[in-house]
Order: sequence, then structure tokens, then C-alpha cells
Amino acid sequence: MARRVLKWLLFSVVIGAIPAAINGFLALVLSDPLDFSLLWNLSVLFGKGELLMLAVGLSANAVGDAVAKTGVSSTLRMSIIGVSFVMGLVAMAVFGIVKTLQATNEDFSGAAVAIASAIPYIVLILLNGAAIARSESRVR
Amino acid sequence: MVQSILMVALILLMIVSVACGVYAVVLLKQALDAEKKNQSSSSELVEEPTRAAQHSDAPSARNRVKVEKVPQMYEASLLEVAETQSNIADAHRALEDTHREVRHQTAAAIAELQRVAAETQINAEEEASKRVSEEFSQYGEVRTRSPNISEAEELESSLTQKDVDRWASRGHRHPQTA
Repeated sequence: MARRVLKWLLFSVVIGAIPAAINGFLALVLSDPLDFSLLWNLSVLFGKGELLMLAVGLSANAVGDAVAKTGVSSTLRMSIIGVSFVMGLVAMAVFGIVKTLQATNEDFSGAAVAIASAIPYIVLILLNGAAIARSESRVR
Repeated sequence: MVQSILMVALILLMIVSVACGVYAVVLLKQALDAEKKNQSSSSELVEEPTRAAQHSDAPSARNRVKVEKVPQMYEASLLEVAETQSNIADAHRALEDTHREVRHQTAAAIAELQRVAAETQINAEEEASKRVSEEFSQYGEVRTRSPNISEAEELESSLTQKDVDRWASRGHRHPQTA
């Protein structure tokens, strides 16, 4: 189980977050003088709703994984598929809302976008990881 | 106004996300529990044969248990085979009984048919004989009663060869040849 979860974390989550790291690196390089605080600045890293796109990808991955798993009970599969699908829809809706709020409200900063997008992203990471772990433990 | 609606929608979506997050945490906890259970059960399975191997020279307790089960399984298989054979014999006997019954019924039906056919034939022959006798007597009456030769000749000419043959087969002779 742990091996499968680690593999999923590495290839789906960490590699998926590389574009945000590149964002931070470019912001660091372009800053004059060099401002290392940009590397953990949420507004710079995820200020455009990147996490929500990753969240939609994770949701699709969770749904596909649950559909393909035959060793898990159908109730569990259906609940995982349903919740993942809902979370994908939530991520899409949040993306649309934060983009609109960003365009119309100056007070809605990149940090707020990052925080609003981090919640569905974290939830989907938990959900996807839990689904993988649960299916692995059930298969044995 | 629109912004406040969007903010409310965003808050609602966050609440939905948190609810889904709770579900994910529960799922994760279940998975961890199941994993722990799996690990404990598999460690028990590993420990038992190891303990047994320490006390004896046998390959392992699990293997010994499997080997000990072989004669029982063999006996169970033999019993199953014997039961199947008995079932087959029963079915064979039932089939033979059915075959015998069918043959018996067929023979009875054939005998009945033959009896009915013979009866019908006898009845038909009697009927034909009676009719021929009646026809012959009728002709004889006409022939003796009527002085008019032409009427008798006309009746004779109406007779066919078949009628004459039929009369002859019943022992009567043709009036002309009589």
C-alpha cells in the first residue's frame, strides 16, 4: 500500500506541482535585488489558480482509478467516484469564481486565490490518496 | 451585489470541500486500520510456522498441516466419486425401468390395435356377405316372379362382372350359368 501511495504522490502530486516551483524560481530570478521570500509567497506560486487545475486533474485521476479498480466493493467505488466528481466540479466552480473576483475586486489578492484553491487541492490529495490506500488494503 | 453572491458561493464551495475532506480522512483512517489488520494477520501467519519449525525438524507447521490434510481430502474425493457412481447407477436403473415400461405399453397397444383390426375385418366380411346374400335373393325373386323376360334381361345386363365375381366368392352362382 505504502509503495503505491508513494508512487502516486511522486508522479501525480510532486511532479504536478513543478510548474508552481518554476513560477517561484522565475520570480526569484527576475527580482532585483534577489528576494528569496518569493519562493514561499503563495501569491507568486499559486496566485493564478494553478492549484485548482491540478485539483481537477487529481479528481479525474481519482475517478479513473476508482472505475478501473475491480477488487474494491461497489459501494466504496461509487462513493469515491461520486465524491471525487463533486470535488472536481467544486474545483472548476471555485476557479471560475476566483478568476471573476480577481478581475472585479482589487482587494481579492493572489494570496486569497491561493488559499481558496489550496482547500480543494488538499482535499483532493487526501481523497485520492485515501482511495488508493483503501483499494490496496481491500485487494489483499 | 454580484461579488457578495460570488463570495457566498465560494464559502459554500469551501464548506463542501471541507465535508469531502472529512470523508477523505475517514476513508484514509479505514485504509490504515485495514492495513494494520492485514499486517497483524500476516505476521501471525508467519510467526506460527516459525515457532513450529524451531521445535521440530519438519519443513514447517503450515506445510505439515497441508500434508496432513491430503489423506482427508483424498477420502473426501473418494466418497464424492462413490456417491457420483451410485447416482449414475440409480439413473441407469430408472432409465431401464422406463424402457421396459415403454416396451410393455407399446406391445399392449399393438395387440389392442391388432384385435380391433381383426374385429373390424370380421364385421366387414359379415356385412358384405349379408349384403351379397340379400342382393342374390332379390335377384332370384325378380327372376322367378317376373314372366317378363326383358325385365330380367335388363337386370342381368346391369350386373357387372364384379358383382358376379363377388357372388361366386360367396358360393352363389350366376343365374345364367345356374
